[in-house]
This record gives sequence, structure tokens and C-alpha cells, in this order.
Amino acid sequence: MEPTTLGIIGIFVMLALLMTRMPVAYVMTLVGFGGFSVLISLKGGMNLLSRSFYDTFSSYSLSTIPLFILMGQLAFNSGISRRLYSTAYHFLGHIQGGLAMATVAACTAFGSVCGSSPATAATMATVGIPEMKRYGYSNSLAAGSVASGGGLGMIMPPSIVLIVYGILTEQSIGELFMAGIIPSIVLTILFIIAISIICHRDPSLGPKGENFPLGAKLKSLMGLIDTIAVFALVIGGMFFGFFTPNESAAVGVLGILILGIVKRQLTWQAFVNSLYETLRTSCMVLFLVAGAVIFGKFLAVTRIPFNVAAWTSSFDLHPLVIMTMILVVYFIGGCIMDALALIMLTIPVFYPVIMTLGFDPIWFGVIIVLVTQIGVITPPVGINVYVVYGMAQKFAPDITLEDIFKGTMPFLLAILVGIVLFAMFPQIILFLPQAMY
Amino acid sequence: MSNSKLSDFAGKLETVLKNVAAVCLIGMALLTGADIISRSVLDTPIFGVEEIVTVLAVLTTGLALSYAQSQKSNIGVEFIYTKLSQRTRRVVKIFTTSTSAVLFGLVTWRLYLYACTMREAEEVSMTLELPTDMIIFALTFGFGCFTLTLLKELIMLFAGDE
Repeated sequence: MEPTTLGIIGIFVMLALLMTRMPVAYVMTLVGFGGFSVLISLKGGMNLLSRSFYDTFSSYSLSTIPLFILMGQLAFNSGISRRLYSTAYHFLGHIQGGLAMATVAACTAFGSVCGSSPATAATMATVGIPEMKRYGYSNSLAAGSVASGGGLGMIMPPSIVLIVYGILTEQSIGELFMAGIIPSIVLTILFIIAISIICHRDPSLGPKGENFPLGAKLKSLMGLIDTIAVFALVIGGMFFGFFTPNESAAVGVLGILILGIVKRQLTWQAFVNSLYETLRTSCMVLFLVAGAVIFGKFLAVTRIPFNVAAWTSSFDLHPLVIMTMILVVYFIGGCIMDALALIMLTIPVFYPVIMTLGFDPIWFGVIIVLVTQIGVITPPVGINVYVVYGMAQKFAPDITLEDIFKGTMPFLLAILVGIVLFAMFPQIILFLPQAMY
Repeated sequence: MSNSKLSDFAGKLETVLKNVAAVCLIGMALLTGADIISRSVLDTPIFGVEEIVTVLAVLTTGLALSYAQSQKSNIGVEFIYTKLSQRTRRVVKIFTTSTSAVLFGLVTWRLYLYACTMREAEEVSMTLELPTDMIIFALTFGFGCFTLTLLKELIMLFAGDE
């Protein structure tokens, strides 16, 4: 059988297995191993299994992942989010829809120390929703802003998805982190504009909050200091060549740990929970990477990625049209699958294509994270929506899933506007990495 | 060994491994931090820190595999599965769990053989000359426990407990 034909069969088998709820990492491993064994030899396939798992689990560069996840978990458990929210609230709370704007701004700031989207949404839900409910905000705006704002954590450095993308495609993690900063800020501004438009059309959705005197506003800035310090140390240290990504992550962990202990906001139980949660997530990520490596080796033998790259470049189509088609795949895939898993699964096929078409791999990394970010707020998966719903049941049981999905729609439009902007002006993404590296 | 004894044993083993993995995790951060301080204050980096961190990373993730599995950490696509009837779901779950158990049993066996090959070759790390086979044996053990957790889940499925 032709290797390409076998590759296509393998892809269909993989899609069928994915529908059984078998973990994505296991499916990639199984199909990759099976296909490689048929094409090369059973012994070769079995060697591929042991070598890929050992190489992935013993990779020094991949050991940065558990450390960055731990940093996020410690931030999640040490009350940083409350201080960030308070600062944003002091500055934005008095304007129409200001509390929702404060939530979005705090989500971006929290994302700078926590690379997980659901963790950002969960932590901001507990801080932001009760406050917005207190001021009579509509359920959809209150919960929708938290669920959507949480997605910003995925693109703001240190983003776990960008780290894994960088390792798989051999791109600089520092450059990817830099590339994520301006888009996160632009998206935050677009989200704030979206809230402003909604509240301008119907002021009852987001009434004005308390207006603080200038002194109180300035004093609230103190709440930002620890986050800025950790962010500057982690990202700045990596930037200016003081630390490797591993060292940056370790410095972030120790920084937040010390802050949590000094401020007495990190209990022993919270610390232990952070460790356990990190173990869970790290295993999941490394398993996905190992699965993607095995599946990628199989695809490479079938030559599908190269054939697809040659095929797409043979079309008389503008590269942006092909890119749009790829992004549509990511958009649809992101709606039914976790962003990280989807990126692991598709990178072996799409990465050679975008390289052939001459797109910048750093730009592509940020764009696909952005597109798959849409999936965290859209049905049927919409992980952030379910996280916010689950958290909201404790203090606002009248919030329904429909409210949240409805509330995320304006933000979805804002993300789409952002994607169009970043596609038309790639320099928004590439300016910082090109200026710094 | 009866089903409940196997479950108890797998549960206890998982707890011990999880705690060892957690210690290794914080050890990675502390060691890297100590190296930065030693390097910048004393101008002396810790010898072979990269290799020790790598070993700790293997232990961190390798030993936590069974915990991650029992916590259902690995991502799956729920989309169609949740629409199936209870009975069909159970059949599908038995199929996927048994396939996974066979697959990772195979991974464990191949890792063991790989470790034996490394032992015969007396392969060591470059700086500290740590025996590579010991690291692979540790990962093999992690995958072995992970496979045991899958088998436990399979037994529970056959016993009617999802």
C-alpha cells in the first residue's frame, strides 16, 4: 500500500478513535505506532514508542513546562488575582460597564503569571462575578466577561501552549513570549471596547460602580507591584539573557512562593494542592507531546505533510487564502477539542505548509493560539464557560449556561476583529520579537 | 489477589508515587534557584545541575502518570461520546481502556528492554556520569504503575463500576 494512502487511513482511524473519548495523547500514540509499524517494521514501531517517551520525559527543555505550570498554580492559590482585580476596579469601576472592563484587565494581568486559561477564568470568576452582581450587572455580561477574559491567559506569556508550540517547531520560546504581549494588550482593548458598546446600547447591563478618590486609586496600584515584579523577573530575565526559560520558570515559582509566604496568603494545603494540580497538568501536556512526536514520525514517513505543502503551494491562490482555510480548520477544531491537543495534532501537517507559503512561524504560533482560544468560549466544548458556570453556582446560582454563552458573543466578535487585524498587520505580533532579538 | 486488594494496592502506590513526584517537582525549582544564586553570588554554578534537573523531571512526570490517569487528566473529545446510551458508552469504555492498557503495557516492556540495553552498554550522563539505565528504569516503573491503574479501571468496568 502507498505510504500516503496508509497515512490517510491512519488519519481517519484517528478521527474515529477520537470520537470514543479515548484521550487524544493515547490515540496519537496508538495510530502513530500502528502506522509506523506497518510502514517500516514492528520492531521499528516498538523502538519508536520507547525512544519517544524516554526522549520526551527526559528532555531538559520540556522540564520548563512543569515549572511554568507550578508558577501559575501558586499564583492561582495565593490571592494575587484579588489584588489585581482591586486595582483595576479602582480605576475603571466608576464608568459604565467598568467592572466588566476591570475583570478583563485583571484577567490579562493575571495571565502574565498564570499560563492557563481555565485557571484564569476560575480565579477571576470568584473575584469578579460577586462584585458585578452586587452592582446589578446582567448575568450575561458578568459571566461572559470572565469566561472570555480568562482566554487571554492563553496568549499572555508565559503561555503553556506557546511553550509547547515553540519546542515542537524549534522556535525560540523567548520570541514567542514577546510576540504574545502586544496581541494580548490589543485584545484586552478590543474587549473593553466591546463592553463599552454593549453598555452604551443598554446601560442597565452594566451600571456604574463606586468612584474612588485619586489617593485611593494611586494606593491601589500597590496591588500590581508583586505581579509586575514577578513578570519583570521572569520575562525580563529571559529577555535580557540572564535566565534560560527553565531558570525563568524556577525564579517565577520561587518568587510567587516567597510572596505567598511573606504575605501569609499561601496556606500549606494550597501549596500542596498547587503541586498536585501541576503534576496532573504536566503529565497531560507531556503525554500529548510524546503522542504528537510519535504521530508526527508516522506522518513524516507517509510524506503527507510534504505532499500537502507541495499541493497547497501548487494552487494559484494567495497564501492568505490558504492561511484562512487553515485557520477555519483550527476554528472548527478548537470548538470540539482542547487547544493544546488540537495544536499538537495538526502541527505536523500544517507547519510545513506555512513554512512553504513563507509565513513567519512566530506569527503563526500566536495566530493559532488566538484562533483556538475561541474554542474556550464556544459550544460544544467551551471549557471556560463550564468553569465559570461551575464557580458561579457557589455565589450566583441564577446564572445559566445560556447566559454565559450569550455573554461571550460580543467578545467572540472582538477576537475575530483581532485576528483580522493581526493577519492584516503581522507587525503587531512581530514587532516586539524583532525589536528585541 | 482479589479485585478490592488490587484496587487498594494501586491506590496506595499511586499516593506514594504522587508525593515523591511532588517532592521532585519542588526540588527542580529549588535546585534551579540555588544554581542561579550560587552562580551570581559565588560565581560558582552547581556542578551538573542540568542533569539533576532532568532526572528530577523524569521522576516528577514519570511517577505521577498513574495519579494523572486516575484523575482523568488526559484530554478526550466528549462531543459524541456523551450522546451515546449508557450501555454503548460502557462497551466503548471497555474497548478504549483495554486498548490503552495493552498499548502502555507494550511501552513499559519496551522501556524495560531499552533500559537493559543501556545497562549493558554502561551508558552514563556526560557531566555527573549518572547511569542512564537507572533513569529509564524509573520511567519504566512509572509506566508500569500507570498500566496497573488502567488495568484497575478495566476491572472496575467489568465489575459494573464506571
